[in-house]
Amino acid sequence: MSASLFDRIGGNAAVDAAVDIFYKKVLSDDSISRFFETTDMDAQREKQKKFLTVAFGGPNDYSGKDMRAAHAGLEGLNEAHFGAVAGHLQATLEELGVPAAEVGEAMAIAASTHDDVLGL
Amino acid sequence: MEVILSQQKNADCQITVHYEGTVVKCNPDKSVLDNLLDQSLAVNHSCKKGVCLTCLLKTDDKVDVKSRAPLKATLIEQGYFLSCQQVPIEGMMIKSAQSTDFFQQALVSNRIEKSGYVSQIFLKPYGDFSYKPGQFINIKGPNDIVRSYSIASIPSDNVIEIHVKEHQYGVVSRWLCSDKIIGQEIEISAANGECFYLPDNQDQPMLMIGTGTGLAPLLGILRDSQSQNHRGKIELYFGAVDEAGLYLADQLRDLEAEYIHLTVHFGTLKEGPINDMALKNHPNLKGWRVFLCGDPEMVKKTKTKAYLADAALSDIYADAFDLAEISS
Repeated sequence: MSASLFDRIGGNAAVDAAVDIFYKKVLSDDSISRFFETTDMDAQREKQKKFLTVAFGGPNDYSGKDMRAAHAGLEGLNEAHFGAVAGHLQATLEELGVPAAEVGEAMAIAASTHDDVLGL
Repeated sequence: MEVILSQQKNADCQITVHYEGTVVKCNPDKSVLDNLLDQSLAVNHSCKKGVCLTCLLKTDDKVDVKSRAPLKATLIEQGYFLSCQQVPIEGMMIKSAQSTDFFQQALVSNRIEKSGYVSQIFLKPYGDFSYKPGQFINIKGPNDIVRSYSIASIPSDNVIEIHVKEHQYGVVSRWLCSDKIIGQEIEISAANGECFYLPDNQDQPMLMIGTGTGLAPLLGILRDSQSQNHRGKIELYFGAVDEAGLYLADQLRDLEAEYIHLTVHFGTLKEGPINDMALKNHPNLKGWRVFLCGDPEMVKKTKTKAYLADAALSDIYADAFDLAEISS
């Protein structure tokens, strides 16, 4: 049996390495930063860790319903924002030297959240 | 059609809680606090962000972890929870807070009026009172209105110092900033809050940014760090709208002369926001400890910028309180 995507990417250590790179990218992107700006940055950072765990195919208790509810209150959230976040995820993985095949798998998982995130 | 149905379903989904013998129908999507306020029930509150601890209520029922996260064990033991952080639970029995559970008497020993409508107020609690400089206390004012103030003193002062800006419509601040306050006995809470100095890395450089009376916690933290022999350099940025708002400039200059590690920078809005000036002078905050106190918008924005400048989130301490009094 081959190792899971999560293990191949590097498990929790990879999430820890990725979270600050990823969170800084979205905060620096003026087109989406407003969705991530908050006084409680520790909680927001934890949310990003959860998201990365999901995208890395790791163990999580995050259902499609949770994903939907978490994004329901974000006014004006659209296709372009989803694409921007996905782009930052890909760039983060590439920056960490994750091989192209694994990046592709993670991007496919992220893409599968599309309808729940945008409430479609 | 579907949308209307789901709305009806929501309306049917009303949750019932009991508050001091009154049955209250609740919207499950709003906090306990907002539900009670919607029914015109008087509940003390201020920040609604789970920080100021003004909206404490009691219940023996199980509540969410986050509605108790910042509370001391002694308060949790008595059933206290933050009503602004808790959604209603069916059948929940809620009681109002007993003021004797967390307020104690203190004597107002002095008031010194500074520029910019700010007063330094000095309090002597009766009985034991422990705190960390930079934490805040709640003060009960006229009509039982409660407001939070950060502590600018250090324990060896043997008196608690707070800085209060008198706001035109602020019931509590006008009461505290009047001449009659000296000699009065008032009610104060225990000290709370996470914004204070820890002597775990005494060589770490520290950046402190404060606006208005957000200087108060910074002054406490600064003096505390020096009394605990902090050796790293400290860059303190104090900003206000105008010169008058820099109400403690003289004392800060004296401290700058006394503490070899300290550099103080002043700024008024004319020269641009003080947080921008600080970040421009310190574009790389890797390894720094950062303290941000004052206007909530400034604190929020600067926290993001400090993080982007490579400060670790665990090294950023923030205290965003300044607007509580104005919103009343």
